[in-house]
Amino acid sequence: MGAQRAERLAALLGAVLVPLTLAPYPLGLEGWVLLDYWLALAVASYATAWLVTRVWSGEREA
Amino acid sequence: MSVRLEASLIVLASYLLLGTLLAIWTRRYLSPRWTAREYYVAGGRMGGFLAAMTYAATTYSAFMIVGLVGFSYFTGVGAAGFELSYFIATMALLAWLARRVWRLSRSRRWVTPSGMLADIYGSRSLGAFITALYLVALIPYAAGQLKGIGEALAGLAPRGHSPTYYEAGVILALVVMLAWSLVAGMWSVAVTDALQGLLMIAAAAGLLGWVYAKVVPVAGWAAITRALSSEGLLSLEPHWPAARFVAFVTPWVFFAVTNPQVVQRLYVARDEGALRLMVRGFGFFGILYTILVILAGLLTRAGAALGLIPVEPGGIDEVTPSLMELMHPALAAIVFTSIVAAAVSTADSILLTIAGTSERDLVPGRESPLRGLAAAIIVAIAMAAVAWLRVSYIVALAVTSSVLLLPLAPPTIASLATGRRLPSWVAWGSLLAGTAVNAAFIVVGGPKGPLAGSLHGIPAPLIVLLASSLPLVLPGALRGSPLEGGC
Repeated sequence: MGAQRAERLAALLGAVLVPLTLAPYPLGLEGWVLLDYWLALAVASYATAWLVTRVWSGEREA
Repeated sequence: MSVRLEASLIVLASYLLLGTLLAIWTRRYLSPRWTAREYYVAGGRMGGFLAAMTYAATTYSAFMIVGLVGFSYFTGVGAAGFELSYFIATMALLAWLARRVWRLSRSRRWVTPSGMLADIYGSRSLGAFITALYLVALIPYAAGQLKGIGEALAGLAPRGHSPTYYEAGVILALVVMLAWSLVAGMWSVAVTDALQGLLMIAAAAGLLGWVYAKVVPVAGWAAITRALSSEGLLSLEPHWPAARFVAFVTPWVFFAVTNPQVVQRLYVARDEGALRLMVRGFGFFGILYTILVILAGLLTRAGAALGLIPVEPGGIDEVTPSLMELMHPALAAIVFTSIVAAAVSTADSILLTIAGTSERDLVPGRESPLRGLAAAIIVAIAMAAVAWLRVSYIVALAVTSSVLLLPLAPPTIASLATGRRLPSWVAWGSLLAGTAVNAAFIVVGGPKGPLAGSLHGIPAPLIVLLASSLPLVLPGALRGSPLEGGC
């Protein structure tokens, strides 16, 4: 997968993950599950960034 | 002199000495020929570790170890949602846009974020307007950091000496901030940021370790959960109603594209490999630091409720200082110094960035080190003067700084995402509309209005975002020639 496609995918995932931070309200989450839920989203966003940056070429631009 | 004060001053002095030696040492990295790009963005020659540490230390201010511990203590797990929302959005924005910004910064020779937008939209007056916005939003924000250092020192003062210690703290912060940013520009800021970032993580781990040892082995997780639940701290209501959550989260979600001190750091990496390490390293730091701080706040509250930690803080900013009074003086000294480090690392980065934008985009002239020096001194004195006043609205303005910068988000994202030079009226429309809404909320609700206000139940930051996004949906708004340099 090319870098540009990976970046578009990251944008798409971000557009999904960020609004999902509000999902505990309609879902009525509480307790430690609430913290686990947000942590899972944070780990998912970190994993996304990790995978996207993997396809960056590492080239040095002039 | 008390043992606590003595230990704190020894650790603080060691940190200041080491930081100053490191800052001087970084002069070897400076190119012999002074250029603005070399001074403000390290000539785009920085390695990934340093870039990651300066991005992290600049982003995470004293708010984390003081404010977020207190927020978790008083408002519970919702504080984690607020902070992690920022993190999730920043990871997405960096994965999406960081490489584009980095590539364009090299081909377009960008030095400042206001210069970047002025270049993209083809309007120098836009760059001047944006710089003015930075000054209004970020001088109180940086002054808030200096005020934090003053308050931290005042908290150590013997009875009756608090005002003197506060003033000494502000002066110390001014001198350190100026010295560490002027010695070698971005190089000295980044290397001292790396030191400060490591200290911040170590202190947060020490703080959590101390609280954990006091509470978890004695009470057990079941009792901790009951204690927090009975106070309503493991649910969203009553502390985090949806409107409040949205109001807090909206400006911070766009922090990575609106705050110039972090946008500028996207220009510094020497190659794509370094940029990759920067994004990953910042992510690792961010998630770790957030978890440490949030858990420290929650466990402290449980420990207080169960009678295991005898604290009764009167407000959000008093939780960490209350804990420091109970700790071993050596650990308290490390936490104290980490508060100073977190404040300095944010303030000197802001200083370097807005000094650069002021001398290049507000009052453009011939490139020279003297102009940079003069701008930095003027901006630093303005920050210290605001902190010296010690009035309450400084903190309110500091808190709302990200809302004041929020109108920058739509035009920045639109141009970078499309990779096009959009018409300048789009950026002007966004900035004027968003700033007008902010001004209206300030008139109606005071300095906190842009964050705390609402209209028909809609939080003010969301209205600011909507208003500044409107020009983008007008016909022709997204048409323009491609930005050269390739995305």
